[in-house]
Amino acid sequence: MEVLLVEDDPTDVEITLEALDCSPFLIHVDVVADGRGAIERLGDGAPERGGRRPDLVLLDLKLPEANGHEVLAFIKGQAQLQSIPVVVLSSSADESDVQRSYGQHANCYVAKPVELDAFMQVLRSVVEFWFGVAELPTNP
Amino acid sequence: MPPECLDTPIGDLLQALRAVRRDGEEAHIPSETVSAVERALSRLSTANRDLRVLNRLQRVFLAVEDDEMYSEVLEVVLEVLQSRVGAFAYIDEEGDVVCPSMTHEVRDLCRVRDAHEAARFRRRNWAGMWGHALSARGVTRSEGPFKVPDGHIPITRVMSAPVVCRGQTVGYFLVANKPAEYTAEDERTLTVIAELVAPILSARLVREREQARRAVAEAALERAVSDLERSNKELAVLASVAAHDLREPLRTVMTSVQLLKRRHGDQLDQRATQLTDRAIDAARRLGSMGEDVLSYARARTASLRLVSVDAGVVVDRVVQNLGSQIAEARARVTRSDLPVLTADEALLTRLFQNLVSNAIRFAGSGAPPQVQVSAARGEAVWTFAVRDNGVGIAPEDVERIFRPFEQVAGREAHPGTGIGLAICTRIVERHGGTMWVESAPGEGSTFCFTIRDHVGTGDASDPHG
Repeated sequence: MEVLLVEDDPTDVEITLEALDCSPFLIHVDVVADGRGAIERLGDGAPERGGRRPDLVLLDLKLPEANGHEVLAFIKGQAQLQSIPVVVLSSSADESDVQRSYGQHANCYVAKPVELDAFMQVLRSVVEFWFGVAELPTNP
Repeated sequence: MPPECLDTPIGDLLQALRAVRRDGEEAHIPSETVSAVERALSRLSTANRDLRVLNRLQRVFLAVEDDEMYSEVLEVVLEVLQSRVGAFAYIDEEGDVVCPSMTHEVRDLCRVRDAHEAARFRRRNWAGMWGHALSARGVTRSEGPFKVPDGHIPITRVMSAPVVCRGQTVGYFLVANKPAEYTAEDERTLTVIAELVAPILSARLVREREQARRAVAEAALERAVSDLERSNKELAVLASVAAHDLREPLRTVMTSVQLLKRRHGDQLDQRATQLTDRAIDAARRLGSMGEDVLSYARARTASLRLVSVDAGVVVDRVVQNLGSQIAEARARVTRSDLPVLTADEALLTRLFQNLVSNAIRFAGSGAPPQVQVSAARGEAVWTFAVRDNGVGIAPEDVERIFRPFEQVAGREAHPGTGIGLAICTRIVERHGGTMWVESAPGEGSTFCFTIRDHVGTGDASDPHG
């Protein structure tokens, strides 16, 4: 399973990697620390042109260069990418961020818990749901 | 009978008298008698004329709009006194003479006008004809010619009268340029008019000043309200930004320290462990403070969503929400029958949750905490009481506990951010109620608040219905 983690906070990256490492799924995590990098990495989603089509995107909102909303808009605007589930992981629980993200067709919005254990639990639940419970779309 | 109806009979009588005087000798009527009747008739005629003038003025006061009243009155006065020019003025609060009415030929020469286009004569500038008229106590008559400024119409003769109400001069009449001299009769007529006008003008001025003062007060109130609304909005934005933006660095601190403990906990000695725990504790407190500040701002500024709420259901839910705290403290939370209210459900929940949670946190060291929620019906309000058997509050601390971020007892014993009661007070106030505490050290506390009863007794009889 391919996961693209778009996250600029090194602690959160570490925690996410640890949580995903402990999951029962074989997961490869690709980490990008800014929005522009994420858009470049995804490309048009075609590997033959150097693009990437991960099975799941974990997206922080507050990012340098292009922010999470811009990355989300990019993904949902590309025919090859729009069916990829995007889980927004944000430290903000602000209603306007939640509304805006769903308006941009985010598949899920999670406010990152402040406590480490709770955050790890959330990450495990997300992975368990998308890889263990939900049916994922096939490559279009 | 209108005074006009008397004119003809009076005229007829006078004519008849003249005939009597002519033929008096034949009829053996003494000429003194004829003169006496003549004088009486003349007085009657004068009184009738006065009455007619007063009648016309009354009609003006009753029927004419405020702005036009002055010129309408002046028109009557000029006609009665056969004067070509004149003015009817009032004295404003600064003591200046304001002439909303003035015959046009004079008025056009006046240089100082106020917003209503009324000529205004500053008190300090009173001089000449006006000064003379204004400083006289009663009616004055003067024969010209008068020295007037260039371009001013020539004034041949002047008569003026102050309008005095309860010893205070509230206005002036000034008439001028009657073709013949002003007579004692004219003077008397103007006096009568001034006396009639005095109470009406005075009442009108009082009313106008009152209206002006009210308008100023209303404008000030409106400004204050809009200032408050703006500052409330700013506070809400500020609190929201602070709470959400704080959360990010706070998470980094929290997760980094927890990660440190988790990864390298075995390398930390007792002192280092203690320090990391302290950092985690502080980060937690910071987190709840951020949330509380946000709640406080919301309690102050969010628009109320008023619905019918069963307070009993709300308290039951609160007990459920606080399940772990209640279990941990081995607390017992009970409630009596509670009414159905019109309130904001989320805010009401928050209110009870803060109060019940406080009651448990400030438990005494002996017996397990007991919290009792009850309500009593007052006149158009419900008074709720949340009673505990906790440590109680010293009288000198009672006021402080309702202020944001003030705590009375030591932090270790009763952890909290100190904003809970400030939030409660705001919620109660938003619902038009008040909040207070009845307490003494060692005897527990009862936090009381009122909520207006919008629903009525019928709905409140069955709290579970």
